[in-house]
Amino acid sequence: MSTVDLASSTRRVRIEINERAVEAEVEPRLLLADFIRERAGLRGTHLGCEHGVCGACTVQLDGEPVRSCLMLAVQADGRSVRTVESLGRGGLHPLQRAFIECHGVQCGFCTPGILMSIEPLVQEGRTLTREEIRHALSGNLCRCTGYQGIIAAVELALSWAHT
Amino acid sequence: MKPAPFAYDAPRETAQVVELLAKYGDDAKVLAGGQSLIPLLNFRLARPDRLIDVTRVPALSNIEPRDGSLVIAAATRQATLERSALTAQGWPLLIEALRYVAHSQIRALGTVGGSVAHADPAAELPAAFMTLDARFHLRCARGARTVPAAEFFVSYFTTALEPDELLEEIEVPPLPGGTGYAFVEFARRHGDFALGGAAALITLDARGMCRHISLTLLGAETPWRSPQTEQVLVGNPPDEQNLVEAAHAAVQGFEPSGDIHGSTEYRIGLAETMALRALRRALDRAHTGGRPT
Amino acid sequence: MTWTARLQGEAQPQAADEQPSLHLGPGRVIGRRIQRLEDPRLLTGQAPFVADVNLPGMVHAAIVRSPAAHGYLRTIDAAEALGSPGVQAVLTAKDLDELGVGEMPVHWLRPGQRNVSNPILATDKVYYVGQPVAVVVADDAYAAEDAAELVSLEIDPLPAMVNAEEALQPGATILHEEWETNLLAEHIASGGDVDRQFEHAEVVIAERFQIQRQAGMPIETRGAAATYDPLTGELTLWVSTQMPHLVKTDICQVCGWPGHKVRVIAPAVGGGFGVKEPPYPEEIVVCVLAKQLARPVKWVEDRREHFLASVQAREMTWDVELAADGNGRILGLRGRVIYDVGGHASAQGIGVPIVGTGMMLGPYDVQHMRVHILGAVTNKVPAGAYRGFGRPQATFVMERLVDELAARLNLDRAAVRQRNFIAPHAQPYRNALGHVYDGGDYGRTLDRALRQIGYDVFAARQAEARAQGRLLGIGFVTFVMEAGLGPSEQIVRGGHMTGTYETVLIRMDPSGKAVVYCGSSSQGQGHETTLAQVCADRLGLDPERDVVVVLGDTATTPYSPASAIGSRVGMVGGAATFLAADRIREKLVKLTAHLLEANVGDIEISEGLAYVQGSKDRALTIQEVATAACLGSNLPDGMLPGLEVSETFDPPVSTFPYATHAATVEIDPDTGGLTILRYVVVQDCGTMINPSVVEGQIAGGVAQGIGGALLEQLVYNSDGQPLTTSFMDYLLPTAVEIPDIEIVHLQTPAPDIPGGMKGLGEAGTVAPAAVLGNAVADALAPFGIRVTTLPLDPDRLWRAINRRGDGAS
Repeated sequence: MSTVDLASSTRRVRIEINERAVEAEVEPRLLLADFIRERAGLRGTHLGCEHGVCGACTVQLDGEPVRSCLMLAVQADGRSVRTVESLGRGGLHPLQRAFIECHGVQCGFCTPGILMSIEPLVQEGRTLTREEIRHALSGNLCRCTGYQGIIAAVELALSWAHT
Repeated sequence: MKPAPFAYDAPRETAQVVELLAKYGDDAKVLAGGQSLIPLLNFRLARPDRLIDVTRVPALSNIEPRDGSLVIAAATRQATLERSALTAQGWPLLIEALRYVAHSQIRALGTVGGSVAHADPAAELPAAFMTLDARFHLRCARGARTVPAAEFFVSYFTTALEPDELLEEIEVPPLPGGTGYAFVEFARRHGDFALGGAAALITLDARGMCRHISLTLLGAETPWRSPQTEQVLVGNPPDEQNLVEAAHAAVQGFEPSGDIHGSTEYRIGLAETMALRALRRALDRAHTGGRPT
Repeated sequence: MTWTARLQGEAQPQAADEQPSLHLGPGRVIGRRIQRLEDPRLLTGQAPFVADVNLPGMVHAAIVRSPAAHGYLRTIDAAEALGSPGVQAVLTAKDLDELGVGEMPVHWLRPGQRNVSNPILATDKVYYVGQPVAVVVADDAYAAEDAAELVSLEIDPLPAMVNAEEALQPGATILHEEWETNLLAEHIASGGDVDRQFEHAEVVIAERFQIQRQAGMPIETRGAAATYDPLTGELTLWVSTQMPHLVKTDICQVCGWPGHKVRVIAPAVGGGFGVKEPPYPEEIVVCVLAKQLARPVKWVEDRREHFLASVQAREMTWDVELAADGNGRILGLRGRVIYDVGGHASAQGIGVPIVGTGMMLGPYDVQHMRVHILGAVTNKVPAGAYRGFGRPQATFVMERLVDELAARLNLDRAAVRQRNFIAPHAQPYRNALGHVYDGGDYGRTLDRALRQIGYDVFAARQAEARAQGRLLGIGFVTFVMEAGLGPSEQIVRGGHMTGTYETVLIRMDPSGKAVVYCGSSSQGQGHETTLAQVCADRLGLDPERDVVVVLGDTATTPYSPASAIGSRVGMVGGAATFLAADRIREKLVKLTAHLLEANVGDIEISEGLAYVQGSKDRALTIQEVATAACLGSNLPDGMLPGLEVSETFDPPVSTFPYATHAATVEIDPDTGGLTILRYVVVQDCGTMINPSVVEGQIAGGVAQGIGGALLEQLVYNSDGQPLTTSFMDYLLPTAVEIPDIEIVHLQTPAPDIPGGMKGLGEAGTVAPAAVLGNAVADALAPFGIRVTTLPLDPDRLWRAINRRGDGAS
């Protein structure tokens, strides 16, 4: 390892999170997830594995679901991020309502990541079979529900999007 | 699981990337999508002094036709390639392979060149590029060179790239009209690295004989392109017996390493199954003019 | 429409299945599929988990863990770490000793058990990779991890012992030298005269079964945050636990602190599954540091640490024999199980195999068994609770034996089971080990499940598929489990440190709304909703608008010794809520009668009103009655003012929920890949407070069981180094691997429990490994394969099919 004090070489970043610009001086190694949680104070984005498998930290980067534990805050400089806190401002989002209706939540730790993964599909009004929904959910681990209520909730939200 | 400290550069031009690589060499690591590198940083299994982020170089994120070939700039996101109409039109094998790459959330950041340069033995894109006879354009301060896929992959997580070299572009030559293709794999869960997999191309001649065959297996030290398979099939009719023989020939000399998810013996058996399934599907598509089915 | 309702709609179960035979309360809220009260804050990211606790001046702890599986810890050099940027302190066992901090107690003790407590931080020896050795505190989590790497440990390595069976062989490397053996404790589960049964048995099935190491693996890791107020001497700990009161008890005991100055809060907890049952060393350390540094301290376990330091489970090797007559009537079961304890006893000692073995004979009328349980230490992470708590293993063993018995005698597997089931009229039934069941019609659940999955037509489908080279199989399992656990006296006599009662306090204020305080905590089971339903039901309230449930805070809730373990909160907490609410109701009724000048016997309470039966115009709102009670005006003679009731329920007996699970599978002979075609559950858990919550618990449990049967395995190499320390190696099932789970309910109220609940939380996990084991054995029957080893991964199945040895058998 180099003896240079790398930690001191911080950079200033500006990331738009839920339509609000958040600026901070950060170490290059700061993960986007930690930026969202610690600097922007948005704690609905959860860290479950920090190696990109569980999906609890999923947020949308310029509209696309990504793992916020597999991205550095400096990489997101100048870009736009949406977290679970952006959903349903002024009333729950239909996807959130569907989760309530179908008992798609148990402990709720994985839920924000699932919502951020699926929300674009609902927004686009996609028509998906149950097998396609399973594949769409396969990048998010849930240990409580056995996925049954989650799959039903996504089906319900997609059906609402069509009516 | 937080990364150890490192310095960070985000150049805007390829020339700057190359300059930085020349300056720092082994101490620096190229950061593209980060979907393989950042987990290693978080586990502190990789601890480079410096990351050179290439995703802010516009020239490195691009897909274009060039003299009939497909040219993919290295930092092009996998999701972008997956949605590329040009690619779907001429090189649908790549699209089929990409569907097996982890999950959409990973492909949204992961890059094409990143996967190739990382050279995980179970990765899909290296096998697909091997099958397609892709050529890798490398650049460093000392100059540029082109390495064919067959020479690019050296060993586990090891490629022909020198420490000061950047993978700049991947060039995929055009396929003869009517080429059938297939990418199949088997993993323990959807989205996992494959326990076994195969990529295949079959071109038939006017008499329905095999004119061109390309078959690559995943999971060994490097993507395993089987010359025996080509010998069995080229010039012969692609009947079931020949496909079975070709698949069997494909695993002669194929040496995947076993781990907790599957022994070597199992992986060889699985590879043979995958080879056969890939050949069958590619043949089906060759019969229907190479269209996706 | 909910998902299960839809599934059932397709499957056309008989309407009678859904008929509760219990008198429901005045509000008719018990049994309703209401939406969960917890959901809005979880869905909006507002629910605070431990990692979200942030206090001014907070510092972060990182744990230095043993890199060696076994060795003498010679020195700890923290000098470099102390010089690292932002570092506040480094703590070792020596510091704890100087502060008078003791050892972590083992909560489950057997006579002669060699391990009754364990060091918080390693002292002179390390027993597994990941064992906590030192703690570094720094300004943020990044700096703490940087510094933790700089603590240098000198360890003289010793040979690692990674196999529990070998650990008990003469000459084995001894982990705890003072014991002179690796045997932590043993127990013989025995009843009847089993050896005599074997003397005249016509058939004996002898088999060896191996169940792999797994873990509950909640998506939220563990974590703890503490703050100490030097002025008042009060310490507050937020901790991701299933047992806030027991964590507090351990802190007070280990640190010698007075209970009234310690407050433990379980905030939102992201799954527990038994992993968060025991108090852990890190939780104590965070409290000690908060006090020493006079600054809030937080530690959030990372996933790699979770694989190195949170309890693991399930690993057992069974050598068993089943005796039967020529008609398939089971006569007795005997054998031995070796339980892999890990480096030292976890809080649960050898409780897991004891509980599992205790109900091993399940639904069968067999009075003779003897299983010798041996718990051996190995150089692996300590083993403890995981949802199911020994039952999935015992059920796998027993149900594989029953299928093998049927195969040996060429009898139908369902017929053999029916022949051996305890008849409904033989209930209450005392099993060979003395557990007295509280009713059950096992034949009915089996029949119902087989009808649901189409057992009668499956053989023809299977034969047709086989002719095409396709491998289909069907498996089914009926089990009974002991839930709730009681009475406390008996549980404590059985070796568990604490009893199993629950106390619930209900407070109603002049607004007529109720707050329910329960000392348990929830990790996703929906206790806020179900306890609110029970309370609302008894008091004629709306569970969503009129009731709030407070859980998991030792400062506000009654003491709860067992909390969220043993499938007990719905049953024991529900019953305590039921009783407490009934006492409030009684008072409301009396007061209403007084205010309306009516007879007590004529007062009804429902939908927010208290009224004279048959004449709703003679009514008061609950709010009006509550106002009178709380303000203390116009009360009948002898009635004290106030509306606050605390009730303790100590279960007089355990309850015995039961179920049949059935599944069909297809195995690809060329890849070894297994696809679950259908999965059916017919469950009787007594009264369902909320069927949607019940179904969520079943489905989640089944998914964990499927994971354990097919995917999940914690692997160590011969040096004791763990090879599975990430989600890339330890494979949790995704939505793609879990099929639709079809659930049919039977509902026989528990006779001895107010409300009639039988307990459910763990039930889903009990059967899947056995069901899938039986289905795989059926699919592979043409190959003559005995399924005895888990997981049923593709390599194992492929080898079995392709005859390459070391396969499924």
